[in-house]
Amino acid sequence: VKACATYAPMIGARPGELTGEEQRGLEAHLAACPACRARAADLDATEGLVSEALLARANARDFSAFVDGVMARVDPVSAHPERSSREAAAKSKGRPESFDPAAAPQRLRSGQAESKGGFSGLLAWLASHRRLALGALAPALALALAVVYVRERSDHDTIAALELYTEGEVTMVLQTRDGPVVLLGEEAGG
Amino acid sequence: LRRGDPVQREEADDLALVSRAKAGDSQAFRALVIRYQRKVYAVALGIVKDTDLAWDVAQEAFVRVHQHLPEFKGDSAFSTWLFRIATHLAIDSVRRERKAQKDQVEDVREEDLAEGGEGILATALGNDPARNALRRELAGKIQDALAELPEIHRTILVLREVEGLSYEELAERLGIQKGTVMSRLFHARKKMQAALRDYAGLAPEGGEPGGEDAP
Repeated sequence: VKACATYAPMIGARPGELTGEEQRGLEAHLAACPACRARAADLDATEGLVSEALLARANARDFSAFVDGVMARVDPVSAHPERSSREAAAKSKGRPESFDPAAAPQRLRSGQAESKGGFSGLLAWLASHRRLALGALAPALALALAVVYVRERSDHDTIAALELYTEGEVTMVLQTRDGPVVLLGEEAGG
Repeated sequence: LRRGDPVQREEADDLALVSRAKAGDSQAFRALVIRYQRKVYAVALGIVKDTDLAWDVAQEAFVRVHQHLPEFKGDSAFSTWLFRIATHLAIDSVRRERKAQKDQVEDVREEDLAEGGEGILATALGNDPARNALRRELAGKIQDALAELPEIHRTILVLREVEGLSYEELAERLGIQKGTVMSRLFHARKKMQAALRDYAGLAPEGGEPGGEDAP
């Protein structure tokens, strides 16, 4: 068994990776040790499984958004404006629409699944993604009357509030310093 | 004279694309991304486990490569350089996990050899791996099995099996001795095989199924 502790880790070495002495020792040990021959057989039988499995996962995923996401970050000028990485990302399996390539470094640094902006960030996002926000919220809100009222205070002023009303239809009202702003989908708003 | 060697040809293609990308040809860089995106993602996925984080790591790797293209002298293959960056990013993104697992045993001790000498997987998988239904089933479980491994074991398995690094390259990449490469690979494979035996319901003779890390 002591010899196994020396030679079992050498099983699976590729040609040239062991020294001559190690190679000769391993061969002699394998000839004499059924347990290590069985270890070698197990390793042979499972050779390539990890690679096959991970590459199969990669091949099963829609990568159409990947290169656009990279190019949008490295070369924004030549990135396809008509097919933003955000839209393309939404097509990719499991990608949240809100994923922004520019946010990726932040996500990597924080190690969190989503980077969190302030409430004002949410408002900015909602303002620029009206159709999408409505589309995502409509199924959840369509069945019941719901009111969500959120406030964020800065000093003594209410700088923003969001109210959602639904009664079969969705209306979103942004309360801003400049007054209420009703967000309507393009279909609803004409 | 080794023009027929696919690896050599691929490296030459890469260098031609790198050269064009350095000169500002964004389509050339785009071609490099498309060529390697899935493999970089696969390496990242094996290390970080989470599919979205693997996506971010892979994209970030290409962004970093683009930033540093002017410094790439071609001393190593482009793919080696790209995977090195991706690996570092992936490990860095799960570094907190590594800190929590500092006590991983690297030596191979006698008690580590208590199981695994039965050839159970070899017997079950038979001699025709390419057509083996069990092998396909186990391949479907690899990601779960990998996720159960400590980060250092996931990483070395992925680098060895997906990226295909040699002992020497693993030692250099991971900053460890060749002996540690071999023993770490031994522990990683032992745990992976125990997990696969569990999934397949294969127990060592006279024992319970599984028994990973049994003393």
